[in-house]
Amino acid sequence: MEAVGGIIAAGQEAKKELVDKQSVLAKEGPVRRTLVGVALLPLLLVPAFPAEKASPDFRKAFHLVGVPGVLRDERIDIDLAADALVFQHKKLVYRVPYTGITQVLLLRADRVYEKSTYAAAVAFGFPGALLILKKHKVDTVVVDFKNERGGRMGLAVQLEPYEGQRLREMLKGHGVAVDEPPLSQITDPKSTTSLEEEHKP
Amino acid sequence: MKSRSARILPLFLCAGLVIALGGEKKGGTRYEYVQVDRFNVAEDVVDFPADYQIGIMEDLIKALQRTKNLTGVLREGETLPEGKQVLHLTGTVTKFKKGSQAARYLVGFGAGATVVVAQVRFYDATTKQLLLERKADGKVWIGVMGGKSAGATNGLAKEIVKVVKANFL
Repeated sequence: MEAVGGIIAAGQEAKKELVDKQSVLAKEGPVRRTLVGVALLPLLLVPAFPAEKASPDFRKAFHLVGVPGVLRDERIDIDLAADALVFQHKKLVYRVPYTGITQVLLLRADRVYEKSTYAAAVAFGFPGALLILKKHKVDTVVVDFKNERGGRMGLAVQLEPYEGQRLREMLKGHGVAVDEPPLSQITDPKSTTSLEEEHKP
Repeated sequence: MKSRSARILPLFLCAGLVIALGGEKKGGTRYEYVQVDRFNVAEDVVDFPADYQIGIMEDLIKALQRTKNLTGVLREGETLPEGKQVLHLTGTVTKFKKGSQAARYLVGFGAGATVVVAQVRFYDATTKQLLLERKADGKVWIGVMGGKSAGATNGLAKEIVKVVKANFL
């Protein structure tokens, strides 16, 4: 009986404390309550479970060839998942498992500003069309891999300058080696140069 | 009236015979599957972009997949279907002219054309017998904003598919 009485007493004490706090809040007025509410608002926006990766590792790369359902020069996002290199274009998701990758080549290349040139040509005529002479430096990544039936496949994308270096480091982290062919084996010595060659002091 | 129809009928029969004989393919074998190897690049072609090499293969596979009389297209390294006629297609890029989109757009008249020439070989995948060897090319010399240079691989693929259709399907 004594124990039950103790519990009831403790409950009453707690209730009294709560009433006291409420009365203090009521005395401090609505301004403080509003401020407390505003301060707590961001907590409501935090999801209850850990969200998926917000953005891909490489955004808006240029697709050249190899990803089914994506046209040449369309923009593509690249994400390095735990087990695969993931290419995303709108709702299309194409996965290349790291285990299937046989070779990755990293090259330096040029692009022309095609859409901008078209817009400039429409706006300013021939002087605007001269924008086609302007070249845009990019890093070209060529990935050789095998599909689930052992068939030889390949794809090529172009990243913003020096993004290729970041991709190389990230791929190394997943156990995929990236080759940079010597200058003699490179496709076009004028427009496509080895990154390593370029970064030499 | 009767004599007129009697004269026309043999003509139709002859025409039918000609079409039937003309439709027979070289070697007499109709292939259901085509296996495509990635094209090699000749040693003297030094400036051929690596992505074009993939582009030829992918464009060729796409073009072959659109072909009506073909059951399937296989890639290099894939297992051949048992008991089926498989045509094995290999090739070597023998000439490449990079061209310039700017020259095509600003100058025109054939200036800055991109050219890819390949020596294509067709084998019977089972017997490994060489059936046909042809030179095929893809060119870009005109197009929207001068045309994209990479379109040359698509032109090459279309020409190879024409040869496949004419001889093996």
